[in-house]
Formats: sequence, structure tokens, C-alpha cells
Amino acid sequence: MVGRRDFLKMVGAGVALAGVTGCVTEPRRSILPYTMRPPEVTPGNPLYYATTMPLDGYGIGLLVASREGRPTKVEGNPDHPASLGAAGVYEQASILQLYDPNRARQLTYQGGVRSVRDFVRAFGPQSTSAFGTPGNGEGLHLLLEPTSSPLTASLIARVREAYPAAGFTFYSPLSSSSELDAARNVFGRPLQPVYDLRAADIIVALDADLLDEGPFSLRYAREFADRRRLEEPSAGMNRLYVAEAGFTSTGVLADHRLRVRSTEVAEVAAALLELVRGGSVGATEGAAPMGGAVVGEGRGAQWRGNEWVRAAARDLAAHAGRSLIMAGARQPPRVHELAIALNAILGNIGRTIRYIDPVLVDVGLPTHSPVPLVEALRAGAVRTLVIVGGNPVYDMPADFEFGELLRRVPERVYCGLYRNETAALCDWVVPALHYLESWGDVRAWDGTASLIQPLIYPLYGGITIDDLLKVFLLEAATDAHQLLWESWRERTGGGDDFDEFWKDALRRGVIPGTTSPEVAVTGEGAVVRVQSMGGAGGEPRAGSVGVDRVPESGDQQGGGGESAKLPRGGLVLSFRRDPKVYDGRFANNGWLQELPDPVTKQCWGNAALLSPRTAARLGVEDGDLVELRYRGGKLRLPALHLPGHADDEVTVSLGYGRGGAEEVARGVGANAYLLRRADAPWFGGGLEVARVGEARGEERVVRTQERWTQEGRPIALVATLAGYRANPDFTHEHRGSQPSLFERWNYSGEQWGMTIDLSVCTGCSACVVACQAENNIPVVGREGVARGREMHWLRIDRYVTGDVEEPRIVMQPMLCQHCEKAPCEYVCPVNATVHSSDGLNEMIYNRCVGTRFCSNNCPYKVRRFNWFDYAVLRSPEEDLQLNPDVTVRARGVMEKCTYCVQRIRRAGIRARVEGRELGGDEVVTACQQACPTRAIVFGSLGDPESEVSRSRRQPRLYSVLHELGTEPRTMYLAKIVNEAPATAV
Amino acid sequence: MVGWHGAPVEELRELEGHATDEELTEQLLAPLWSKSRWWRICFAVSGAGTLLYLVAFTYTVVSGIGVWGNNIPVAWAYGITNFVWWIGIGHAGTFISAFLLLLQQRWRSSVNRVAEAMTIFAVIQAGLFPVLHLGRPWFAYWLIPYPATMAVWPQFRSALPWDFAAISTYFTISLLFWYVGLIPDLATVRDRAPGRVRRVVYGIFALGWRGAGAHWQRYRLVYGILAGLATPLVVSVHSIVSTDFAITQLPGWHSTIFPPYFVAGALYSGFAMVIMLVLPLRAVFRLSNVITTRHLDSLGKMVLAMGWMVIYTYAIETFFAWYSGDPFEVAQYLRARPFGSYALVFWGMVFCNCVVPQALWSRRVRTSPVLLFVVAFLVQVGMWAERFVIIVASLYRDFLPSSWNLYAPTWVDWGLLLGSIGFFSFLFFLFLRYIPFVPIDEVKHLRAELEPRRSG
Repeated sequence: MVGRRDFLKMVGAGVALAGVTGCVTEPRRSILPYTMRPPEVTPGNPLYYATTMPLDGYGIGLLVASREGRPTKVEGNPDHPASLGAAGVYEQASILQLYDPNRARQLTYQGGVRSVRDFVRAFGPQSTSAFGTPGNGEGLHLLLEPTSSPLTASLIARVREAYPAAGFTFYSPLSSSSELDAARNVFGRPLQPVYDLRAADIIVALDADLLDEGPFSLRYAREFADRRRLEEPSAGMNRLYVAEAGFTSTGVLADHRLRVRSTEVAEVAAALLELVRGGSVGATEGAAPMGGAVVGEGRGAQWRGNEWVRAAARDLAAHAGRSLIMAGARQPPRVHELAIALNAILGNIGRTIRYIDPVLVDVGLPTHSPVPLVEALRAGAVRTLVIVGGNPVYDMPADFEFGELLRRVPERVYCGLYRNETAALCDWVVPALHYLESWGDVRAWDGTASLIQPLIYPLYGGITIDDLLKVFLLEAATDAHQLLWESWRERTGGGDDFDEFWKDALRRGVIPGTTSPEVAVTGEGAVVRVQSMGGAGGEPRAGSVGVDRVPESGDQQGGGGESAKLPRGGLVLSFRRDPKVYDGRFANNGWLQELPDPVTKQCWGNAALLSPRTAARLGVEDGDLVELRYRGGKLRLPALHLPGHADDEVTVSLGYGRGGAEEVARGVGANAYLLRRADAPWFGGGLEVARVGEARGEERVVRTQERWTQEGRPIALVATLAGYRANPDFTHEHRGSQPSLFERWNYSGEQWGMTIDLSVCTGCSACVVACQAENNIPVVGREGVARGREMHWLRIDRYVTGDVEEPRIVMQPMLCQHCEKAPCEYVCPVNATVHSSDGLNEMIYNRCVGTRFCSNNCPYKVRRFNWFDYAVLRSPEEDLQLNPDVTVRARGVMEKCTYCVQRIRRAGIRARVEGRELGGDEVVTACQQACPTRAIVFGSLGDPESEVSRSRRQPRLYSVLHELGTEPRTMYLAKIVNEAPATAV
Repeated sequence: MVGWHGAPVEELRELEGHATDEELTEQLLAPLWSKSRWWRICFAVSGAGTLLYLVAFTYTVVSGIGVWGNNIPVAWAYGITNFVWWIGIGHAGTFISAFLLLLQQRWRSSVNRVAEAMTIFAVIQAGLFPVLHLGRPWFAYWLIPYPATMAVWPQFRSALPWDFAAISTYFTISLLFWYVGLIPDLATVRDRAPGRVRRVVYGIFALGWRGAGAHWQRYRLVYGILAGLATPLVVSVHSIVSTDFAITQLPGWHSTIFPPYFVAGALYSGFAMVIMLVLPLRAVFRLSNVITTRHLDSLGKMVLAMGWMVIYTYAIETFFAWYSGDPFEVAQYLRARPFGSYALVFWGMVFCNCVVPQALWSRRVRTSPVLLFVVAFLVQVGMWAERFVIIVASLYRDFLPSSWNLYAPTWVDWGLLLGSIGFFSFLFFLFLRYIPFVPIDEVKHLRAELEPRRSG
């Protein structure tokens, strides 16, 4: 008797077994036809399973749509605290990575194919490996990615027990210990902050991309947006101050943005602390004067006079207990200490910010630094190095020369998804399982644990980290599911209701009661010595101090060298996580490579980003090829002017210039890791920039949008909150009826419409990837995008407004407007684009002959054309991801956003079968579902109480290009910016 | 005859010399019998051009429009530029044959067949592009209103089905008109052809013409009716082609002056093409007695007149763009075109279309074959540039700056343009070889008309 889960796995295998050439960990089973299907499966209907995606050790809960045993679409899990229903760029694109044909498929030893049994024989109970006897693990070292998995933690503990001398290192190129080090310095032990942005009126982000970067960014984005939606002019709005060098998604929504070099953020923070403490900007009434150390004079004075700093300090003081200051992971611990001090003084701790024990395994210990491993390698003390996940040969700091060190290790094992740069230098290459094929568990940033369950039988064979650790334990092998089940049974104490608990955990995707408890750092039972000063409802305590130890100014992260004493005129080189390929691990993902960078709109590559003023000083034109010379290293790549970037700093994205077997990733962009040094992994001075010439061929920058401004046209409207309250009707010229030669449609029943709120769109582009996944949109490649043929149905237009030096950016998602008086409809010669009775502008692929007249007449240019047979260019593995509800378009046919008509019709059929009306909010489009800030609202305008109908009643509603009389169903809510009122300083 | 400055001016005649009918016939049939080496070389070159066309055509159909340079927003570029350019060229032929016939302009006699043949071959070139530029050209017939099993008709508010109707009508009428006019001459060739094969073939196409009075009467009737049908086409066809652009709301296209603008432009480039074809023929085949300086003068005057209409429309368009105050129109006409990425093409167009033809005010230029040819060539280039500017410059910078994008042609685009010229030449050289390209009967009639006057 075969269980349901196993049955589904087998059916999935039936589709995917064609690709399985390597061995599988489980014995082969027979394939059964689908005539006896499990009752819950109806062919043609998707089933949703909850799972979790681990990224750099933290989990984001997801619901994944499964079609006849294979996953096709990722959605967020509304019940999971890190997702709240949203799924970001990485989560959406991870489904394509599952089917990546370049994934490692065979277990090899020095190039020859081996079976898992061979591997187990080499490292398991009867192993003859270098460390097998005497068995204390001398010379064995495991290099892992950071993990929070309780199962993995327990296995690591058992491996340590078995091999006490074995070394462990947890390394990820984007992880930073600054936050934990700062907490240790201030509180005496490493603690992790969890923010509650719903409670914050004023937020100050010091080089912190809270809305788009980090394991809880989806949640923070939602909480932030919830305080910003402005249902009516008199509603309240939070205010965001951002100090940053590059332009991040958080900077896009900043009400006040300070353009400052990464090296000077510390001074800004110090000045802010000084002003808030000193009370010279109107702190809470009755506050006691500050004691303790005083911040040094000098540079601090310059920042204390800065308008941004003064305004932020004013606002913070006026909103003590309802504000939040955060420092970004890139900044050194000192800046985090200053942020803690500020939060403490303002009484925010316990209100907008709470501290929990760190979630990652081993965090705060030396094992989270690669330095001990590197020293051991240099000393030749490592005989067996097992690398699980990651790509250290590619992404370790250049001065470690990790590749060279790795070569000297006698026995090298790599377990990963790809045959990448690291795998190329290892003897044993073991394919890893993708999370969508694995059993496991993981914890979110706030500690909430959830299970990872597979959506498909392993496509290419492979093992998880837990399987691999099990091999090293001198025990009989068990399968991963069993392992997980047993570990949780043990953890919850077994019992009769464990079965119920297990099923519930799998179904909901969250394990209740696992959120980390708050560690009190203030008031009664505080573990530390910080005391707050006043705050909302709190009594001011006489003689209290902010923080005992106030950091000194002038030292950089990790101390060290010339980079610390930065001359004013010198250039700083700054590294950043790439919003698309992360740290390089997603470089082989076509969707992510083709996704335009939110701010620069560059795809298929990276560039040296610098401010127009600095570029002018260096003689570098937009798109020129430059050579960066930094601490002995050189890198050539094109340069881009980025309005709003800090002066005298150059930012480069990590994650490009990949080698390895990944065909899509190879040769795209320049490898910034070659310049990265261990003592200053995020930014450092001493950069020289030399113009080499014009960029040509593969080195050219490819962008989907070249222009920065709206050219004086009212397309993306922006207003201040004060202006909006004074004149709520300011968009009246951009809405209302227009004279037309065409007749009005007769409306009844569902009438689909969409409203997009520009106030909360960060430009993160999760919606773009979601649309691509849902609608089978092809990837056209670098040359295609260079020619202007990208196929995204939904794009994010990025416009700068305001001052050229200190610009504001507004992000405008642009998709088919489903115009009621559509210009495309009357020019199609063959009736391939027509209007439906429920308000959709429909595209009929099989009638289209491809005259492209509709595209010419579309003023929004949202229509796309299949210039080649893109469908044929997909690999058969990637075809498995295709959504069967959506036509795969042939060559020569136009396509565009359909308001996810497949979802509308599916919901309509369901409603009809159930004998009821379709609800106004029942249909959720892919873009709407993915958006972390809920900027996109979709539903039926026929229902006056649906969310979209209510959004239409907001005064700041408008249509783009309203004067053309297209009467679009997609309308926008103008961006409102909450500028601080100017008061005498 | 006295010129307006007082000195006597030599009167230009439609026919020079005192040749007899027999001599005229011999002269005009001579090209059909000669084994000209030049013809062989030119034919071979045009054959190579046709081959290039075939390759580019096939490559496009097999691989997709992606082998062109088109993108979003510039979804139409060389393909449609070439289409409009060729259709425009064709109009002069109909104008000369039909329009001038109805206006009883004698000078049309010797050049009208070349002009009409040019029209047919140009329409063939033009007609291929709208089919080729489709994403799925094998379904091009869906633009035709036939009772389909899918029970769907074309969407008639769109200008493209109108195009189909206009161009198919134009081609049919032009072909019939040209053929009917050919019949007496085909009979002449049949009667004088050296070999039996030729006599038979020409005989079939001559439809049994014997030159009887009744034949001439019917001939005149049909020819007149066809002329009457063809004349409005001169105005309607290119007006319809212009609605491909005018019915849209794109700045740069959305302009009511387009129909007369395009018709004027069509005649402009058409006459220039007639000049470019007729002048080499006149020199090579020594036809200056039948294609006289009067013809050159008249053609030159037509070009100048049409040129001024085109200048007017440029001015009026730009004026109204400015006068409207519409930011999109202003941006297109006053910034994108003259100063944008295609400014060179724009100013080249202005030079070739507005400045160059002013030379035609001078009679010396109008009657000089070399200078007239150069002016005509530059006008052709300028008119191609005009269509390019209208199509590409309007598309590459439209309403939302986020969609602005450049266009650059590929070798396939160039191959199709040059190849279509090659194919046109190929057909034209065939025409020269096998059909009397100066209407023998009409020239003899003209001689008869002119003779009494001269002796008197």
C-alpha cells in the first residue's frame, strides 16, 4: 500500500526521471499510471503545499503550487511571519533554479562518476579516509553556509561529539557580524534585533536597506507600508529618514534622504546621537541632561549642522518610544552601537524594537568567521575539507586566496547545486538537493521554525546537508524525512498528538510556539545595563545615562591600515549585495539576470556606480569602460552615472563575473570579489578610477530604461503630504471622463480593475518575476535586451524628480492598462485584440498575425512581441516550470498582461460550480500576490465594497496619459511624501 | 516664342526630327533585337540583387522578425519604410499614364509605358513588404475579407485591411491599364519578330490585334475607362497608406495632413524615379528624338511642383505641432526629429527634399540630363529618409520616456532594401528586353498630330 505523499513523489518522478542519470538515495520504485489518483488531486487543478525557502540560514515561508506532482509557482505563506503572503525576487525565481539544466547531476570523484554508496564508503562508518581513525576528527573541517535549522544543529552537535577535533566554519559572503558584535559590546552578549515598524512613526535607516534586504525584509516592507497607505488625506503617515551612499529600494521611499559616503555614516550617527542626547533639538520635556562620554569634536560638528541630521533628531526626540533607528549590516559595529544608544535613549527598546537570542547556529562564535579556517589551511592543518553549499573559491575575500589554499588540501569534498568554481577544485563533487526537493527545517529571523517539505522527487539525485552530516556520523543511513520526523518528535517530547502536530506543521508551514522570546534589555529583569531616558508614558529618571560606552570616532570595521584614516578627497569602493543575483548564487537564473536592477535598470551585468558629479570630475561618461584599482587589485567594468549616489564613492554589485559550468552565468559582468579584502569587506578607501575607453560588445551596459526623468511630463505624480492635505484634488486633471468617438460599454457583473499605490512601491520587482513565472514569459538574453526586446509584461518605470544633486526616485509599475477605449483594439486588422464584457483587453494569440500595429498605437508601450521562437529556446527541464493554464506563445505573436485572466476564469468557474457570485476581492493576480508592500490592488469594480473600488475613492487617484482618453482600468495613487515641517533650528 | 525676359526662347517639342512612321517603328523596336552587352551586365547585377533579396526574405520568414533590427517601441522600421517608399514611387506612373491622359498632355506619350511598368514593379516590391513584416506571414490572408470557417472577418476599423484593398486594386488596375495599352505594340512586335517562337508568344499576348478601325475604337474606349478608374487611385491609394499612420494617436503620425502630404510625396518620389529610369534609357538607346528636352522639362517641373507641396506640408506640420502647445507634439517635431538621435537623417531629408529641388527653377538644370538625374536621385534618397523619419523618429520617442529606445538596422534590413531595388531592376530589365518600352503607336499618333502644325 503506497502512501499519498509517496505516490505523488513517484508521479513527479515519472515526469522527471528522464533527467535522472545519477544515483538516487532511495531505491527505485515502480511508476504507476494516474488512473488511480489520490482523491485530493484533480488533474488541471493546482495544489498548494507549504514549505520554506532557506536563504543564508533564515527561512521565508512559502506556498508552492504543484501541478500533477511538479511545482510551478511560488507564493508567499500568509501565516509565516517572514512572508505575510509576499514572496520576493529570490523566492519567486527559485522555482527556475530547481529546474536549472546546469545543476550538478552526477556524483563524481575526480571527474569519474561514483555512486552515493562510494561516497558513504569513503566517509562513513567503514571509511578509510584521513580522519576515519583514530576518530577524533583531527584534520577534518567542514565549511558550511550559516544555518538555523534545528535538525542540522542537532546533527552538527552529534558530529562534534563524534569528532571533537573537527573544525566547523559557517561562511556566507553577505553575512556580517556587526550587529551581533555591537550587541555583545553593549549588552554583554550577542543579541539580534527584531523591529516592529507598525509601532514606529519615525524611522531612521543608516545604510540599512530594511525594505528589500535581509531575511525579514518582506515583513518589514509590509509593516512599513501599512503605516503609509493614507486612505484619506487626513490619515497619518510614518516618516523615513535614510542615509546611504547608493540608491536602494529603501532610499526610494525615503521622505528625507541623505547622500553620504559609506565611511561617513558613522559620523552621521554620532552627530545624531549627540543632538538627541544633548536635547538641543527639543527632546522630551523634563528629560534629564546627559552624562557619560562625549563624542569627539571635529567632523562631528559638520554633521551636527546638517539639515537632515537636525530634522531627524528633532523628529526622533518628538517621537520618543515611537521611533526606530537601525544600522545596516554593512556598517561596522560602532554604528550599530550608536543606533542601540539612540534607541535606548528614546525608549524605543521594547516598543519598536525587541531583542532575541540569535537564531543561527553557532552565531557569535569564531566559527562564524572564515579566519580560523584560513589560518588552519595556511598552516596545513586541514587534511579533509568538506564544503557544503556556497561557493567560497569565488566569493571569499581575495586576500585569503582561498582557491590556492584549497588546492593544498589532500581531500576536498564539495556538495552544492552547481559544478561551480569551488566544485572545479574539489575531488568529490556531490550534487545537492534544492530546497523544493528536500526535507528539512529552518527558522525565520524571529526564530519561528517551519518545515521544508519537497514538492517533487529529486530531479537529478543529490543529498541535503543533513544527509551529508549523517554520513559522517558513524550510523546507519536513514532517509531525510525519517530524520526530520524523528528530530521533531524528540524535540516535542513525542506523545500521542505528535501526528497531529506534524500534519499541522506541514499544512500550515509554521510550527506554532517557536518564535523566539524577547530578551529584556530594559526595565525589570533586564540582562544588561542600558536604561532608557523618558519616552512615551515613561517617567524621566534623573541622572540616567544613555549608554555607558560611547564608541570612538575614526575606526573602520575590523580596524586596520590605511583605509581607516580616509583622506577627504579619496575615493571609496563599496560592495553591495546584488538585488538580482544576491551574492552570485543566482547568477545562472535567467529570470534574475534579465530582471532590470530596480534603480539602474541594468540587466545581464554589473557596473561601477558613481554620482554624476564624481564622474564628471574623473572624466567618466555614462557607459564608459573604467578600471578600478584598489589595494593591489584591478577590475575592469563599465561605469554608470547614478543620480543620488554619494560623491567620491563607487559601488559595485557582487555576484558577477562567474565561471564554472553555469552557462547562463558565465562571463556576465565583472567579479567584484577580486577586489574584496577581509578586513574591509563592505567598503574601503584608496580606490583609483581610470577611464579606459568606451565600453563595447560584451562590456556594454544593457539597460531596459535609459532615460531618468519624466521629461516634464506628468506621468508619475508626487506630492508632499502637506500639499496633498491642502489640495486633495491635485490630480483632478488626470482623471474623469473624456470626450470620445467611441460608444460607452454597458457594464454589469464583474468589472476588473487595478490600482497601484506609488506611495508604497519600492521597485523591488518581485511582481515582475512573479508575472514571469505565472505567465510563461520567456527570457530573451543579453543581446535581446540590448536591442530592446525584453518580454516582461510588467515593468517598473523608474523616474527621478526634484533636484539633480539630491533627487527623489518614484517607481511606477507599468502594465497593460486594459483601457476601456483601447487604442490597440481598433488598429488590429484581424480582431486579435478585443474587449471582454468584464473589462479586460483580451489578446487572442492564435488569431494574431503579428503586424505590430497594436504596439505602435499603445501609448504605454506595454505590448510585447515574440521576435523569435522563444519557446523553443527553453530547455526541456525548464518546460516543467511552465504554467499549464497559460498559452506558450509562438513566434510572431503579440502578448501583454492579461490581468491574469487564467486566474479570473478559474475563480469564475469555481464560483459557478459552487453556485455563487464571484467575490470582488476573490481573484488575486500574480503581481498583487507577490508584492511585499501590497502596492497592487486588484479586484472587481462592479462590487462597490471591494478593495479596488474603495481605492478608487481616494482623491489622489489618477490615470497615466489621461488626456489621450484611453480610460484605463489600471489607475494609480500618486506618491505622497511625508516631508518634515521646516522649523527654525 | 519669347521668354519673359524678352529674348526669344527655343520652343521645346515633344518630338524631334523628321522620321517617318517606319523609321520610328524600327528605332523603337531595336532594343528588342539587340544583344547588348550592357544589358547583360546590368541584368546580372540585378539578378544578384534579387538573389540577395531572396536570401534575406527567406531568412526572415524562417527565423522570425528578430533578424531585423525592430524592437519595442520601434516595431516598424525599414520594412514599412520600404513599403511606403515603393508604393509612393508607383504613383507617378499612374499619374503620367492616366491623369495626364485625361488632361490630354501630349508629352506623356513616350514615357508613359516606362512609367506604368515602373508602377507595376514598384507595387510588386511594395506589396511584398507588408506580408514579409508580419510575425506570421503564412496567415497574411486573414486580412482578406473572405468567408472563413472561423466565422471571423477582418477588423475593418484598422487601416491595414484598407491597405490590402487599396493595393490590390491598384495593382490590378495598373496591370490591366498597362497591358491594354501594350496590345497594339505587341501586335507590331509579333508582325516584325525574327523567329517563329517569338511570333507565336507575342501573338498570344497580342490577342489577335489587327489594327482594324473597330479594334482602335474599342481600344480607345477601354483605355479611357481604365484611365478614368486609375486616376482616382493616384489620390486614394496613398491616402489610404497614409492612414496607416494618421489613424493612430502617436505624435508624429496623428496628423490630418497626412493623406495629401503622402500623395504629394508619392508623386514627388515617383517622378524622380521616372526621371532616373528614363534618362539612362534615352542616352543608351539614343531616343532623344522621342524623349525630348520637352519631356525632361515637364518632368522637372512636376518634381519642383511636388517638392513645393512637400515643403508646405513639412512647414504646416511643424507649425501646428508648435501652435498646439501639446508637449508630446512639440517634443517630437521640435526636439526629437531635428536634434535627436536621428537628426542626421532628418536634416538629410530636409536638404534632399527642400533644398536640392530648388535647382529645378533653372531651365538649364531641367533640360540637362546629368543634373536632372542627380537631383532626382537625391530626391529619392530624401523621400526614403522622410518615411524613415516619420516612422522611426515618431516611435523611438513617444509618450513615456521609460519606453524610449533606439533602432539600428541589421544586414537583413539592408539586404531587403537593396534587394528590393535589385528585384525591381531585375523586372525592369526584363521589361526593357522583351517589351517595347516606348509606345510605338502613341508616338506615331503624336507625329501625326504634330506634323500638320509644323508644315503650316
